[in-house]
Amino acid sequence: MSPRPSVLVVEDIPTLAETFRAFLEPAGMTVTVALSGGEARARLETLLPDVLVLDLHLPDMTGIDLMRWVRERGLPCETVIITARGSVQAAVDSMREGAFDFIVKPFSADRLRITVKNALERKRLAGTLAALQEVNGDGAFAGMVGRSAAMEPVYRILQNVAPSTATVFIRGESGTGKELCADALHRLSGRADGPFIAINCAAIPRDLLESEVFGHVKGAFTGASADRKGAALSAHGGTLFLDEVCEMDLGLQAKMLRFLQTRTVQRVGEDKARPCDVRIVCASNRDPEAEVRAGRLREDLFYRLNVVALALPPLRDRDDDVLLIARHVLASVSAEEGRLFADFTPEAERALLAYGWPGNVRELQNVIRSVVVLNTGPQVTAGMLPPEVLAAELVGAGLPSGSPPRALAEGIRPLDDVIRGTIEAAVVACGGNIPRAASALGVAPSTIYRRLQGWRDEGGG
Amino acid sequence: MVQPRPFPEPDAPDGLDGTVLAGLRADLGAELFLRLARQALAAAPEELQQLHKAATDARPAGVASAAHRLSGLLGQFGAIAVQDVAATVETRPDDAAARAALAAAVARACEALSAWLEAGEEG
Repeated sequence: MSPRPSVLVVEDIPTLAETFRAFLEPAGMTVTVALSGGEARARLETLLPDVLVLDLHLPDMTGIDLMRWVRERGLPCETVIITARGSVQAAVDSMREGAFDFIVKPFSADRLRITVKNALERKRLAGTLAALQEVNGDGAFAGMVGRSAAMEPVYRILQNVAPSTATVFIRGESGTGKELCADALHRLSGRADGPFIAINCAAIPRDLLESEVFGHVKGAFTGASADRKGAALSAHGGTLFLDEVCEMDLGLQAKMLRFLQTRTVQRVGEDKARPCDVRIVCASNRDPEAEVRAGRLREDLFYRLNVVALALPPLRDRDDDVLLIARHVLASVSAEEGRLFADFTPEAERALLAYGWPGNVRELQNVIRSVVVLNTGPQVTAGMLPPEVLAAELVGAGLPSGSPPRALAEGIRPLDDVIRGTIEAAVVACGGNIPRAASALGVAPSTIYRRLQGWRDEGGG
Repeated sequence: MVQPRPFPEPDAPDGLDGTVLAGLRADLGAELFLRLARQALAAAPEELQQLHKAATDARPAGVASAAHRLSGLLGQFGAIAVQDVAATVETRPDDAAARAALAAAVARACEALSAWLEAGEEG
């Protein structure tokens, strides 16, 4: 980046173009003006600005068309969209296309200068990120494993959005890696040195969620024996991740909305509002629009949270990522458990690819952990995989549908028996340690205790 | 130093947001602000003419485009009422009543801005 940053203002109204130039030049920026999309293209043949300040409505093309043209040419410049009131949705769409930020007319000189300076900062960080990726040629992006086509838009949005302060709403089925994605957003942002605080709104009793998020003072309610900072203040200077945000009750949603609007936090039992600088990332496995329609999610909160929407694809849509992730997990779990597993047999790989993975990456991790704990290496064979994974491969190999696969039909067992056998084998393999067996099976220990109790009650245990 | 008359209140009937005007003049300096405001006053009737022509020629995209330009041009000078009506015309370019309302809002905003500039010069 040159010492004096350069900005191309693309604005078809000369009075406004001159106004924006007058806003930016005193801030030490070199400003060039183009009054149409065509003129901007011509300028960009010889000029490489650091930032494009772009009106969405141009006489000869849309601002988004020009952004795409810039992207197709790989021009490394950031884009700030300017738009009129009433076109905010289009501006939000432009952020999905990679724009850094948008500002709505009328705006002050300070507003434009700060936004352009932030865009310049993102450009600097993007250069650092590109260098990191070049070093990291292992199919992983900021801790996320996979290079399928389905993940490309995810990585693109992460890269574009991470350096901004825009709130991100991550959607995806259970087990698709929403928290990992939120963590990647944090790590790629300018807040990476700050804290990353995750709260699962579904895992905390509703009565306690407000104090978990916003904190409380001693004596605020029965059991509040000491002051508590709360997740929001703990995340000051960093990122607050609200998982399963649709589970938040309506009363707390109102408080969350106030927090987003004022960027201040009021602890339970306290009058004082404290400033809180956090970037919010939230996630849900539910359809938030449906939750809004059903009246369970406030519409105004949803729009505040959904500035950038990011959809994580299910594992079944990620092609060979299944194998990349499986190998990655196998290596790490083997090391953790002190086993010598190195890879998968071709049959096992075919089975992994054929299975639908309804529980997504989490299910894949659990299956591999279970295989590692219950078997010895060095290769994972098809026979080590759970019957349902194996069945998918056998069906995929062309066995008649509607009848059970032949290999299974011979020794087919009721599902309850399979579950009992799997649990008992895990408990034996873990030397009777129920929590460890539960971890290997990817279930809560209470699940195993409940099953064992049930079998005892049936008189079989 | 000559003090201009106070700006209209944000929700004054003439639809100009005084805070926006004051901020813009401070950002640009009095001289450049005056020149650009006059440019805007000169450009607004031309844009309105483009809008009428597009309506006569049954080109809704042209109507929407001219409304958008009016919104951006006068909105930057605090004409919030113009922005509101222009947004309606952009979504309903065939609506003659909305177009008439926009023309009226533009006339009011230009008159108010013009009067304020004159008062400032005289003041």
